[in-house]
Amino acid sequence: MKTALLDRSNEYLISRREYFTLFAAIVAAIAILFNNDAPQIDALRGLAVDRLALLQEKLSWFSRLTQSTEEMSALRQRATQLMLENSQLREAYLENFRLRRLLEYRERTPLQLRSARVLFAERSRTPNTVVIDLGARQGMRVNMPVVTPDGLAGKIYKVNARTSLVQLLLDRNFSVSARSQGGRVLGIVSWSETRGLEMTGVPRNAVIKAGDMVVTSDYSALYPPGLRIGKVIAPSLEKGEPFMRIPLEPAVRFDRLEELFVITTPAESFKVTVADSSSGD
Amino acid sequence: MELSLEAKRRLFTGGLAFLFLILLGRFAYVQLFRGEQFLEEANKNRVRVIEVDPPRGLIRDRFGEVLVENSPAYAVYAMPGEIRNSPQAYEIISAALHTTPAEIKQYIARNKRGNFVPVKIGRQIDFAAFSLLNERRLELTGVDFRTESRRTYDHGVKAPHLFGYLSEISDAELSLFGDNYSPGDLIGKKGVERQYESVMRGVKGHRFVEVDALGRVIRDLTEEDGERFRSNPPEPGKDVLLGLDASLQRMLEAELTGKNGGAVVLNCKNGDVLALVSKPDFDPELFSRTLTPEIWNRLLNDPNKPLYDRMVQSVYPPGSTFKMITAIAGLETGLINPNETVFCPGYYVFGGRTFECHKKGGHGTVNLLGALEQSCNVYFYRMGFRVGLEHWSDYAARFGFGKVTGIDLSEENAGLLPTVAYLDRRYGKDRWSKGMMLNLAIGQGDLLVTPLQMAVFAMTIANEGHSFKPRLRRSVLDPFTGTEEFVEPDTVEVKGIRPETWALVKRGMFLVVNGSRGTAVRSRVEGLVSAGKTGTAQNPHGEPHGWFIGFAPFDDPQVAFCVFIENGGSGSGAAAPVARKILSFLLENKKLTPQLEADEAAD
Repeated sequence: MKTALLDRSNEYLISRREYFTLFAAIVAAIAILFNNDAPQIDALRGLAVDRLALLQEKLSWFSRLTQSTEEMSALRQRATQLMLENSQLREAYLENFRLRRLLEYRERTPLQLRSARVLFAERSRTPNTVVIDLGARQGMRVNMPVVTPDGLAGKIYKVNARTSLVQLLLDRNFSVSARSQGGRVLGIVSWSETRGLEMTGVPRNAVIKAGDMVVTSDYSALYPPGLRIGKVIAPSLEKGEPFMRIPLEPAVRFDRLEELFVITTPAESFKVTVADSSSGD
Repeated sequence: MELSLEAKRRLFTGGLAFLFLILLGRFAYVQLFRGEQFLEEANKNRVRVIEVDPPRGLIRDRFGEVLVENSPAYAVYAMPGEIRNSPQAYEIISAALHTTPAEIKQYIARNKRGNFVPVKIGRQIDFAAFSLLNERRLELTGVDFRTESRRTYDHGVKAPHLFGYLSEISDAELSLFGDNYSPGDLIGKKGVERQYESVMRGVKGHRFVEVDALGRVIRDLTEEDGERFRSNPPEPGKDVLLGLDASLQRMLEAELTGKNGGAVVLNCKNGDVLALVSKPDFDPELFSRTLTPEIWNRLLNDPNKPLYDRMVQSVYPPGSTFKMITAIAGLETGLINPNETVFCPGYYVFGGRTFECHKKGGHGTVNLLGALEQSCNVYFYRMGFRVGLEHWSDYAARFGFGKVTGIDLSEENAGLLPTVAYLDRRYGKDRWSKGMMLNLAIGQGDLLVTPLQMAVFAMTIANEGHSFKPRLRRSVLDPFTGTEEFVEPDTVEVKGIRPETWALVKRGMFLVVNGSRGTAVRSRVEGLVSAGKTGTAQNPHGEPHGWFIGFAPFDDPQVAFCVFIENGGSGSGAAAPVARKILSFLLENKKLTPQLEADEAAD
């Protein structure tokens, strides 16, 4: 008798499955309508990106079968590391001139890098992002700087379990504290689709010329100082602007982003430390 | 009770229909009842107007040298309707601004003027804090960052009283000239900054950006998105060129440091203020940074009153520098014969009171020129009494005393010129002594003037009545076209004084500097003939004030000046040496054309 009832209700559920699907869909629709940007919905999105990434990974593994992936990745990592060191050495060299008489020394920890592959790009969205194959499980955290051997590419904007979203330098809402390399011209670098990459807030009498490299400044809260951002195209003083805008050519080639490096060293450790100047000459 | 299959079906369909109704109801509510409101909010939300501040015009000297310019200052704004109530965002902001989340929330609530009117929550923050907030802007929905201007004075000229300063616009000012201003904007509050606000301000520009639901900028809007989204660049402000000579001003600021007082130097040919120094002063940078209540109170309560412009806002008895008025009034009314002599025994007794001369032993027999040269009080007591208050105050008023000079600075003090009507009002009709005129004749008593008025007085004598309104602004420069528009000087004529009278008074002033018994030999400069008059004004608050007014060169006056040293002791000791510095500086730097020694015989 009991089995018969169960069978009957099973049969009932199966025969009415369209209704139940519809029912579930309406409930979901109502839920979404009433909770627009809830964290649960966000988590759902993250999960979807993760799954998609997994699939992408499987497919790309096939396409890269012929390459010695790991070797290349290691080489790129080394190249980036050298770029960073080189950049810092140049800075130290220039600084040496500037600060010879000041008893100020800087101590910098070597930066730790993690290599990441670009899975896919969401370039048309806001923010302008790419998805990389490292996530919370690999120790990724929001605001970690992302670089290529050429310079600063962006920062981690959102972390999922296995993937992360990288907000690129070419995003309208990306800003970085910058200065001219070797000079003392400070400004904020940001990007706009009408004007491109530019450094703003530069005093009108600042000495800066085409070809000068603009790097991350010592005042940056997220990025190690001395990372290349872009090269000065031509400083311009627009009539209506109190300060100069300096258009830059990005150091990183954003049209061919395949491999990126995440700087995992905590931001606090590349902050400038100033020694006690009373210690004598 | 077991339901029939049919009943279950109906119940189920009914349930579905009910859910659909909720859905429909919600849609209808959103669309029909709140639709318009949501659309409006969405548009406000979607399109954000970014104000672009115009670059403020600079302040330059007569040669175009920049004296006050703009440097970047970093400000943070919050959009009350958009700033997300996330504790993390408030933590980031409050850490950067060195405050607490609660304080920021309170501040926004207190200064809110609408959900989409930005509130300035951080002004003049340092570059490190600005960097931090900018770099984390994606986490800071509803927070906006702007690079604004801050006035800087890196050219060795402080002149805080002259330049004035900018400060945040008040509610009253906002309702008065609101079109070109927004809350949090800076506006000229004092000095040239205030006087020429409309010239230097420029016109605000706008551009439009599209933002998403979280306030993140998606893209710039252009006219292709509709005519109303066309951006308009700001119209930059114009530079104001002052008549000031920066090198002279610099020299005088250094020279007068440590003193209470100052100096005004005017161009006799057009009334340009070549230098205007009032000491003690303060660092104008204090006002271009965030002025803390401690600093403000310290300035306000400083017993030396550094906030006061002693040359324009403060009044003092002019002492003997005013004797020329008594002389002119006497000569013009015919009550003084220049050749008539008076014997000065060192004092004068009137109405049972003894009025003293500054020279205890007396000047002996003096005529008008001798009395001016040696600044004999006894001569002017007697002549002043003869001239009388009515004539005396009439002539003083012709020279502009008791009225503002009209210099392009606000808060100018008019001083006080006692007249019969004034004394009747103050002391009661016929209740004041005729002896008052004795004190007024030597520039003491109720008479009060500003050092600027005395400099204009010197210019008027130098020009024999063809004078000018003193002015700071000489021209206005459009920094982008290079077009300079000059401002015509305002002429002021002092009428009804005969050439002989001018000649006599100028001759007397010549002797003050160049005569063998002159009181201002300490102002004499080799190779330049000048004329002047010293003054030592008694005051109840301590040592007498030292005055010296004059002009040079004697034959073709190019500059007129007034030096005033508060409690300086005497005009010849404290003020005349400063005048000497001014004249030798102008001569050495070829700022004026010297005349040959005009009258060797005068020595």
